[in-house]
Amino acid sequence: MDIQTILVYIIVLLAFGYLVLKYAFPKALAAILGKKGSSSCGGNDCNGCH
Amino acid sequence: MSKQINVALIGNPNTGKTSIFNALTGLNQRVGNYPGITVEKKEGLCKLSRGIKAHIIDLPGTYSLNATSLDENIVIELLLNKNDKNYPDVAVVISDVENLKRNLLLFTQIKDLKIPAILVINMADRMKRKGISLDIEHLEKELHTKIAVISTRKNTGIDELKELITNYRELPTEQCIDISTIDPEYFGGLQNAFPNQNLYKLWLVITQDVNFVNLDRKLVDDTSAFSTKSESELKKMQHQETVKRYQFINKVLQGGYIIDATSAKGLRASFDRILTHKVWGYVVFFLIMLLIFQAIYEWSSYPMDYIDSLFASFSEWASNTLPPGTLTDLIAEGIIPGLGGIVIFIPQIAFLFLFIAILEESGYMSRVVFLMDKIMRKFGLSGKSVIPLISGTACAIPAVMATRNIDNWKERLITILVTPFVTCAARLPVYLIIIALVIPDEEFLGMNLQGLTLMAMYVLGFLTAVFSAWALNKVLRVKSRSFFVVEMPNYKVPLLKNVVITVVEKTKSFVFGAGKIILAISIILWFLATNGPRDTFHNAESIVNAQPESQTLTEDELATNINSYKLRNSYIGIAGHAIEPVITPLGYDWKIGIALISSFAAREVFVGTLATIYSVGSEEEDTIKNRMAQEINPETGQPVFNLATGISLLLFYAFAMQCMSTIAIVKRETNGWKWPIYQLVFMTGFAYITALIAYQLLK
Repeated sequence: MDIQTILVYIIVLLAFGYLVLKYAFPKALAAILGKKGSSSCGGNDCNGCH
Repeated sequence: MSKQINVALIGNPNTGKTSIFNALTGLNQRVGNYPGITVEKKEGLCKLSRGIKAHIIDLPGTYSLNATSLDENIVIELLLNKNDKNYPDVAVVISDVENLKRNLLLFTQIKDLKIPAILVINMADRMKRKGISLDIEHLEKELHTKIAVISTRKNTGIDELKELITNYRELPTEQCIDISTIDPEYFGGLQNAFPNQNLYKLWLVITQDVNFVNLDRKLVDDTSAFSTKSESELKKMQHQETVKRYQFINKVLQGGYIIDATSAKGLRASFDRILTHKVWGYVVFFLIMLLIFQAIYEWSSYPMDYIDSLFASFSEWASNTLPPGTLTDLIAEGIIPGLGGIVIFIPQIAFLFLFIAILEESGYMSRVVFLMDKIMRKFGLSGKSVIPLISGTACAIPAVMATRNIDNWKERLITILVTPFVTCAARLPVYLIIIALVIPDEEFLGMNLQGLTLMAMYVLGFLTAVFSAWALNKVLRVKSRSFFVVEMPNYKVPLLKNVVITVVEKTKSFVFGAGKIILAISIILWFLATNGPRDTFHNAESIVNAQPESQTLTEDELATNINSYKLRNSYIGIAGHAIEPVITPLGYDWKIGIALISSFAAREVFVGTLATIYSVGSEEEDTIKNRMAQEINPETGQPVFNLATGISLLLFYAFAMQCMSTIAIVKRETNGWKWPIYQLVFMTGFAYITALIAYQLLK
């Protein structure tokens, strides 16, 4: 397996992990990204992205 | 060592609390010239002199401490709970110079809680035009406070306010009225029982008991033994309190607040006569909407085409320049087309928010709310539902949150359930690309037909919300409706800074909020489209080469056939073909089916998904619009995106609940999964049936 393929697998896993955290565990995602407080959808500083 | 103090910004709705919050903290919270912008408290830090830091809390607007809705409860719960970590060391009560009398009611209530309070008289730039003069010394003396006269538009008075906050310990804590004079016997008994407690606080605890939601009851004194009067008697005493306060306020203002009507100038009344007129009001609103949707199409077509071709060139560049391999393919065929699917819509989104910001800032939005209230009543909704529905044109999530100012639960529930029908900004990319593909770019009655179609989609969303509310009203049987008081702010020339902040912040959140999801989905889709489980995928080249019809094909045609065969046998192709029987009656092929599923995360993912799928199946780099226009149905030989499929898709997206974040917020606001599941099932079912009927009639 060449380096490009390995990188692709890592990127795909990261993308998948991001979506799982975003929708199933939003608080864990906020903690990982180092966001203080709730800035997720509907939070105090929700700007209404979608 | 630096010291931190809590500062609460409190005031009536639309007095400019959030503007002052932004001026103090340097943050860019959204402001607007219509009430109800702040439904939850917002927090920020402000550096004062002598190393003091102020923790600023922007609270939702409230007319008094007699709360009737969830957002107003936030204010009273904080002020009554000394153990709350945000309990203010000082309250900054913000008033509007033109409505000082009404605003002072809340101020006197806060003063009577013995919380050090500073009075801010905001919008001072209008004093001269309105013929208002103030005797600050007199007002300070009579109100036992310090006053800061501020104009956030002219950026004056903020430093003086910071100085007053720094010296908050010097503020007098004398009360404005003696509550016990209303009923000496009752209040005497109460005070005797709790000699160390503030009498007015005890009174608020008794009268507001029913409204507490989040407050831990153990943290406040138990006054239940003294709620000896009946509810109607308590109400009567509350009325007496209000009368007493206004008597006090009138006396204070007599010597300190003078309006010289002869020097006042203003076209407000003339404007209002037209803009809220029962016929002309709607005509003007219709014309403004027409202008907005025409402009969105006309003005943004050039930057949109430019961005589209830029991403196509970028993709080609990546493909030709980077070393060949899987990662390069992912970048060129997955990431760049996927991101292009969102960036292309920046001009339209920015124009939409520009117009919304101008309408809000100018004060016109409150007139729209007033006009819509008249329509709403006919369909069983009160005007309090109007603000959520209008906010829904930007995004359903803050709109659902805005329903917190509706005190009747059933009415609030109906508004929550119908708000996602209103056309949000996330639907805009889907509408724009489909309309551009299936509606001719022609003039109709002197107007662009595509712009008119876009406007029709917005009208359709609003009408569906209103009719659904009417139907739900019959099922849920709302007996009483909340009363609706709308603040009619003055007309203002929109402040460029506020408009720019709104447009930039909204566009940024749209691009970055949706962009991350689109990027992640594009990567996964690309992976699923370039890998497959069976031999048919891995041996695609030899299988296609062995087919007799391949012998007569050119090299390019053969490569296209191989790619197409691989895509069909990839993971995504297999999944797409599995759902094809369900979506074929709507006129969609399996690729659109995949886009429907992926856009369940967020509607705007639709275009990015198609861009990625078409990119994987294609040999040449091309713009998203061209790829979609060139997609041919192999069975009919006709373009996939024809009028019937286009209208079917538009209707599906108009009605379907394609937004996981909205489902999550509805779950939070209704405290359970019951209502979001009903909503999801109904909206998806309704969308499916209307899309089916439209396609079958038009095909």
